[in-house]
Amino acid sequence: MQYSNTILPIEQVITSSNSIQNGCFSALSHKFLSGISMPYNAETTSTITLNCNGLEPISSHGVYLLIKLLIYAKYQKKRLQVFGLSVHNRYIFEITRLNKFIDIIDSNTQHIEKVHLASTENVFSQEEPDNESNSYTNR
Amino acid sequence: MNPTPTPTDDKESRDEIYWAHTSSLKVSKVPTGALNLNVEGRRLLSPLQGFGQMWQKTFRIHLKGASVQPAEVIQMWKENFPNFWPKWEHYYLPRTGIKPGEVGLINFVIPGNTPVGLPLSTGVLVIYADEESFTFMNPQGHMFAGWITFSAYSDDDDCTVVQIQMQVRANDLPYEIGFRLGASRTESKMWQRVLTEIGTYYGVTEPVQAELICIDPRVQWSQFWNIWQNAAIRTFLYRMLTPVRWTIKRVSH
Repeated sequence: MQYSNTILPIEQVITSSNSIQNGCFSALSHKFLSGISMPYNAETTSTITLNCNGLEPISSHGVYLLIKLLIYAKYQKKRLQVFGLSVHNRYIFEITRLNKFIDIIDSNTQHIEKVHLASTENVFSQEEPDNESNSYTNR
Repeated sequence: MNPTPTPTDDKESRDEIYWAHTSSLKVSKVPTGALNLNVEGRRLLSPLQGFGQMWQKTFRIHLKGASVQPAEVIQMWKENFPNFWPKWEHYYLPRTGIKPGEVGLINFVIPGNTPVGLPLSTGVLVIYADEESFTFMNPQGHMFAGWITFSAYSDDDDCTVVQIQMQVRANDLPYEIGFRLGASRTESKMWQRVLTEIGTYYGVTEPVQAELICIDPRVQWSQFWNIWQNAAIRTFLYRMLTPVRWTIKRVSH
């Protein structure tokens, strides 16, 4: 099994949904969510990373979308992580508690190191499977 | 050399004033008649930290024919928020109005559509408020973990649309059972009624559109112990112990 990086500019996540309209948005379409994972199927990717460099202040719509993305990632058994968050957006992640479910990293370099570490751990965990679920996994 | 501020920095500094700068609830002054229970010091919970199924509910009404701007609607709504609630539910507005960081107290009875039932005292924190929207986030013990956004905007036809949107999941097992047994429907009707009342305020009789989406159908057993903070159970016990408190107070004086 291979593990690779999936780096998405967050604008793609926030603006790809054509359902976002002035002040409201409906559910992310299944097509959109599938689009995220299309080049990186579940077997080859363990982490979805969002590049938040230059991101404007996150609005409530952005927060709602991130929650959906988190649920999607959970079902795909993927971790979600972001890098390049500004101080203000980092605060928004904290007050909305998103920081408890999304790994916030400082740089892309750190992201690559983390993915490398995760892939190494996964290779080991394949050799010694354990059934322990993390705190975010539903039973 | 000072770095040149970018447009993003500029927007951020403007946006900062709209966000609350606290993550736990603190009531500065309890309004007359309000019960401040299950609020002080409680922490906020995102929809990811609740127990039950996660729902996104959206209700909106088009104010067709009303010449009112979105900012005017929100201004009016902020000032008269409790007036649009059901009569038997008491929402106590923060002393300084709906502003970021302020706490609103809620006293009502479950199931919510009748004046009698199980008493529940809780609150909400205004985590965001600008000219065209405001968002409440719920604390531990509240029926829901999550947030609710009240907003207004102009659609493509330049018609003002008023919207209530929430992303929530029941906070613990008893609440989840209650919602599946009909409390969720009652709650949806309540929000539809709020929008109908706002429409009536502006002389509009348009129907309220509702969109209910189950984002996550699974329950999170890992959050089972949220029940420890259940505001309904705690309020019930508080009421039951009223005679004891009263007696202690009499004896100590």
